[in-house]
Amino acid sequence: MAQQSDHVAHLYPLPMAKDNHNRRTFRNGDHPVQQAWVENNVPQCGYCQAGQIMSAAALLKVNPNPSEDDIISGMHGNICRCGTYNRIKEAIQSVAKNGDVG
Amino acid sequence: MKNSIEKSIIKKIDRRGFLKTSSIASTGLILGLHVSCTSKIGVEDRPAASFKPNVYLTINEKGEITILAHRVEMGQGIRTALPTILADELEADWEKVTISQALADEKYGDQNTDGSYSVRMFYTPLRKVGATARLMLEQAAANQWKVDVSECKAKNSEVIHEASGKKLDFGALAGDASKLPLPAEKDIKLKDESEFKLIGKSTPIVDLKDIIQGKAKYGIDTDLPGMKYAVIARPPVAGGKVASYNADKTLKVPGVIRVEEIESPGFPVAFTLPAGGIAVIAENTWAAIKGRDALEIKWDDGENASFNTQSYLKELEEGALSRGIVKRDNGDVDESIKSATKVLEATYILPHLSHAPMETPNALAYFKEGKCEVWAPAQHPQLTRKVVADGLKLGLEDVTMNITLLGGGFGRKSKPDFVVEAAVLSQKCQMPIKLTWTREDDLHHDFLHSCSAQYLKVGIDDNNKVTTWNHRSVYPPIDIHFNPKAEIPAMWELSLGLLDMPYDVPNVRCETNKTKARSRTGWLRSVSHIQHAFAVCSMADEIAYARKMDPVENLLDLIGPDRNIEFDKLIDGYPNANEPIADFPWESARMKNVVNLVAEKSGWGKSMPIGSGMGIATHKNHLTYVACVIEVKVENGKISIPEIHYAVDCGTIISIDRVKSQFEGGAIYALSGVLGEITFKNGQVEQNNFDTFRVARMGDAPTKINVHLVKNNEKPTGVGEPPVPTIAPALCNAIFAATGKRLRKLPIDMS
Repeated sequence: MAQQSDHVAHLYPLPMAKDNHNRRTFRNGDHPVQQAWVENNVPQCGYCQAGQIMSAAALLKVNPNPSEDDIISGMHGNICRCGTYNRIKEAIQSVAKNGDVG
Repeated sequence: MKNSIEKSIIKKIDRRGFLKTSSIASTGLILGLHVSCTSKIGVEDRPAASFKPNVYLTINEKGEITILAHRVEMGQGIRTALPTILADELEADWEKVTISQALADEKYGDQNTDGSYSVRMFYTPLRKVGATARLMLEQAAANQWKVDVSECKAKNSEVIHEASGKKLDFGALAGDASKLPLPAEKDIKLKDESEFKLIGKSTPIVDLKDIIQGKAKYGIDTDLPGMKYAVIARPPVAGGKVASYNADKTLKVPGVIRVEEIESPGFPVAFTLPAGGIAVIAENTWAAIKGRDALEIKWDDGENASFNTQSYLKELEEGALSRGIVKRDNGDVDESIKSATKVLEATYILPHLSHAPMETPNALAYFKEGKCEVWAPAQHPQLTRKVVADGLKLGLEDVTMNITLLGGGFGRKSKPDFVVEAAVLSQKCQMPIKLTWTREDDLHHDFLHSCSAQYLKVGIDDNNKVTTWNHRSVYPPIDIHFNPKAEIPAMWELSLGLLDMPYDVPNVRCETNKTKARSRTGWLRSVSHIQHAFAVCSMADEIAYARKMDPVENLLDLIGPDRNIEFDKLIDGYPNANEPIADFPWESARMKNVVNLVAEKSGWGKSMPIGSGMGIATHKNHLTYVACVIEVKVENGKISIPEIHYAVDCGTIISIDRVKSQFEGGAIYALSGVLGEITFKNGQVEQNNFDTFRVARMGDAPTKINVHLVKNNEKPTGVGEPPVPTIAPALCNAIFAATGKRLRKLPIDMS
């Protein structure tokens, strides 16, 4: 589960998080990564997507123009069992292409 | 998937006579399929409404339209798809529609969200609900304007009198419309397909914004004041139980409140009961887990203590190689094989697989004063409600079952064992209990897709025609959950791709053999289509090479002339995915069409560099015709997939984007099934987490997945499961084309 902190996505075991919180992401929804997620209709069940968004935002913060391999290695820790990886990749590429990585 | 339990407790909708009643409220129009009743709906954050939305559709005086989502959302987009069907027929302004999630109640009809069923089952009934409401609103307007109803037309949440240009909003008409009698069935006119505004488009899912802002509520997000947290140490071997335990150390862990023993049901482990074990209840999940770690439990492992995957697979293989129990027999296989000039034989071995949804099983239950309310990510709401009532010895009316969003389901969450666990603990402790399964719990105690062994023998005559097909498939029956004496898979399991092998071969024998389940087994996305399609589509490719034919030409020849294949006559009791074969015929022309389409779109036959290749597979499942081409590149034993192409004929499409997304995601889900496996040693699952149970990550995904949809006006069929079965055989066929290495065992091993 990823938590927002200085634009670095943190992955840590769920039990270390306080019980009862929601998945953490940028809450107002207007971050360029979130916008790209909407434009590409990325989510299916959506459960992993807050974590995917945070990892993508962190990746783009340090590497605003990632290659496909950079995206694959940057997103390796986030599993999506619905299999939305291709749309995630396209969404990240569209943010990089637009130049505003948030 | 349909089963006997479900049939016994669910009243199926009468599709033709569905509009038997309507519920008339004083201030709005409510339409539904079932008799009105007054139970409240369990969604608290809906806008204040002066009615009780006990049916699918409500329109209030403000023109606000509420459509009830009675099926379960787990990523397939059904909370959007079904309401768009109704809204389109209604001529509703989609912006004015609110989706409300229904409780578990048989008044909504079938809620068991499984078997790629939802759109197929509810497409026409929901269109009729929308069309009926539209007609009543038009009639209400006609009455006000004193004109004939034929002059009034609903459009975008208004009714318009075309001659005068008068308009009235749905809200202004709702009160009058609610007082009108229901129109006769013959007067209800469905829209022409050319008038669709939502059906066949790509309406974004209704939960999209909530999801990307982290606001969507899954089972794991539910909470109640004062609730406590539980985890359970379950018997590590299926059918085992607690011999003795000591919780002294557990009770000293800060935050631990109490420890409760839950009875184990024995073997086979029912998916309707808790698995038993020792539950630890604490102030938070972390304390509960630490408390569980401190338990000292002696287990009685029971009859499966020595269960090992390796030896079990050998048993299955022996069964596949022995004379079996015949379930389809056409022509004379034994005689025809004698005159074959080429005989192909192959054995296919597939592993146990875990559903492993990202959201592990969890439930919140609150038992209080003889009633129980539960919140859970459950695929089968009505069964869940029933088994909670049974488990707590309550009446059905004393259990309220709230359905949350599911963080993935894949068939795991149609087994309500985890919800009963939470309910039993809440009853024992008399407090609200939130039960969490860790990832380890999920992998250790899943109702797995079972491993299997299959044998196939094919004869080709001197005219290069396939004359003999003998297929034997052996795996433990899922049917044991419904029929404890089952020793072989039931007709509904065997008809998922084994018995309904569609190739035009004169001598066909399909068999199975007895075997005993030794672990918790159940259905997983596309069920036994997984193993059957792997064998059938792999063998089809072997036949192509044996006949020296291009694999596409070979498939078209195998499928044979255009015809409706009468499996009901070839196979005694053929279920046809629970639909009359007259309504959903098995059309060979539609299968050939998807084969031709995928060949064309994938550039089949183009020259490939050394180490690259393309493979094809076609398989009808859940009444949807699918063909798949995979392009692979194999370098130093490492496989990458530049492209996957699907051609899909699922009849009428509700959302183009969501059909495509199901296929994109289904391809990846199926790829996990060729990468990973669950194995047992001494009765226990050897994998603990995603480090040892390999699932596809972004780097495993194909570079591109192309979904080519056949456009027609046929009845809609499923898309949740149909993406899965063709992937493994298409991939292995592509690897053969690239390397000459034939893979007949999964997970794939290129060494």
